[in-house]
Amino acid sequence: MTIEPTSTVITVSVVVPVYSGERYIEKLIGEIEAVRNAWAASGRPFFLSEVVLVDDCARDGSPEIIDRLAAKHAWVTALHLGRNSGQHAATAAGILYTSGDWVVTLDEDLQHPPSRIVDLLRTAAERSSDIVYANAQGRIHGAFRDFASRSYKRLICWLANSPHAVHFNSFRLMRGPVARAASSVCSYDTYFDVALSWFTGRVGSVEMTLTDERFQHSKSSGYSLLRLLSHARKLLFSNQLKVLRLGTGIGIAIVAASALLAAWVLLAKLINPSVFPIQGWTSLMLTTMFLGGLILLMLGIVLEYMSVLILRAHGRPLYFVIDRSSDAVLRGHFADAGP
Amino acid sequence: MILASGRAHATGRHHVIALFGLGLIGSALQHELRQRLIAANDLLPFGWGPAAPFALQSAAIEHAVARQATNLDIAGQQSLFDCVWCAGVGGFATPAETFETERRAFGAVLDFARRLATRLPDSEHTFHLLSSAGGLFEGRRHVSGSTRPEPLRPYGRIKLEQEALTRDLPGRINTQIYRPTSVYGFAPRGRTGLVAALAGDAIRRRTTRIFGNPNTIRDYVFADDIARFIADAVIYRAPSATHLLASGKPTSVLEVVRHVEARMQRSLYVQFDTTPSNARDMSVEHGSLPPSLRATPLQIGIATTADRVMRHMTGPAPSGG
Repeated sequence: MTIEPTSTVITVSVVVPVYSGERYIEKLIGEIEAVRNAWAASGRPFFLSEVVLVDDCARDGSPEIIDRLAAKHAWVTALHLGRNSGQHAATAAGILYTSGDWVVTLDEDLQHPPSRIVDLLRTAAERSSDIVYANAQGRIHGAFRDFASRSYKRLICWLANSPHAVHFNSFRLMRGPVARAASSVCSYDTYFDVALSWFTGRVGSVEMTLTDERFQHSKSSGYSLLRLLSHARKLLFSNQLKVLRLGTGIGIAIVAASALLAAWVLLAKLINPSVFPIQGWTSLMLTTMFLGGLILLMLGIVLEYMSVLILRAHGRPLYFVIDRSSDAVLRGHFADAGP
Repeated sequence: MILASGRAHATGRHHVIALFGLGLIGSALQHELRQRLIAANDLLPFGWGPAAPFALQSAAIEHAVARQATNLDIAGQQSLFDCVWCAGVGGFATPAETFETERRAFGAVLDFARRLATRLPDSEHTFHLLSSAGGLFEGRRHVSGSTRPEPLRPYGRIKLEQEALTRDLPGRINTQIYRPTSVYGFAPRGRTGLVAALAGDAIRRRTTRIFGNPNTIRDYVFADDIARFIADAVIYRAPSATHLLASGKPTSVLEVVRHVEARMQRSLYVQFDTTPSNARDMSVEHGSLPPSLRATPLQIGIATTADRVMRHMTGPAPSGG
């Protein structure tokens, strides 16, 4: 079936990083095709225009399947990365091959149903959001991993002053220009969702029940413990953390306290020379406190500078301009369509 | 224009090539042909001005081509004659009346190709036209080989007209029509593309004015890739066809700016036009590209272009010793 978008229709691109998906990709493309055909048949003002499958140096037979699917469907693009670069790098690479007004990222293993893309789009239109995450409900990977993941994200929310970190999820809908801009600036160690948050503050979420079928059946996930830890490290270091500011603040407080204490010790010594019976205690105490505070302060300043440089290296922009004019068409459509 | 003649390394056959236009693609093609033909190049005048004597100029070129072909006939070899049109006077924002000169010049070159086909009936003749996917499909995404051209401006309309005139050439003249997307690269003459302009302005520490916005999507294709594809068509011959030449990778202006910044190792000063005349998105379906077009990855193409701009602007490196 050949479907062509008109130039006025709003286009949606789908990106799927693939690492070990030989058992799932064909079924996933089948589901996406069904959504694509259903959208086209129902005359919606949006169109699923393309799917980019990114082979992240897969460890199974996925690359051949991807090539076969790209040869079969003109709307499927196959990309092969030279080495295993990780899910976020593969996602960024795939996004840079899209041209849709909106970009959706899905996992390879069917835990993200393509039929729910329309719900993400509805939320984006109704709330004028630039990013909408699927807010997973229920048990996905098992109690311990789900708990650890949620707790860590909450910690990052607090540490990085980033209220949206708790929603970070690989089933996301992004405004195309935002997704491509974030992918363009992503560097080696940037956490992709953190890069996205540099371009927009309008982030929404849709609650949905997601199940990792692979995990339920095989008790194994596409991620090993080491990979999960690396992911967590990346999330921590891509953010500008409160801890750095805290260090500088503590340094300033200690320098101030040591100055006050020095004044009091000096005054006490002058008024009553025998107040401190140990010879040299006063000067030693004053020097230690002052230098300790000064070192902390200087360290805090160095860390502040470093965090500015690191954010620059990560590609954080000064500002970003977003055009949301096409949202009215979507809003009109969803209002007519009802809940 | 350049008149090149010589024997191809790959096939051993003799070619005579009239190359009109030495801009971004023309100079890349000239370089490619120089590598692939044991060739002698003649630079012949082909002026553009309103008073340019097209008849006189094309007669001189025709005479030179016939002389080359006669020399080959004496040697008992059949010549392959190619006429390549990759010239043009304007761009997207050029008004319709400016294209009148191009229309006249193109007509003169078509007449020249027809006359030559009559004069050298034993030679194989091919006419190559560089059209423009950007002009024909402006504002369209997921363009494929079956997408119907709908030009929005005079620039696209003249390209479509040239394609029609080319297809109307007598049947014994093989026609190859190329529709490249946004071509980038460096040529000392002709129009400067986005990448070369950014690299040049980075060296001069000047602001680059971009007629689009950071999110405008284009399909950037490297001039060397286009040149290689056309040189293949010249050397290996193929039935008449129209080719969509693109990288298949949609790229935002912001991504290009980032790559140039990384290569030049300095921040770029850019100004985006507030009323962009050329801000519509355009992309090409990956599956519609000719399999033999080996697109250079964007990062490598940008790095190569930036290096060429640097070499051109700062002069050759001092020799050692």
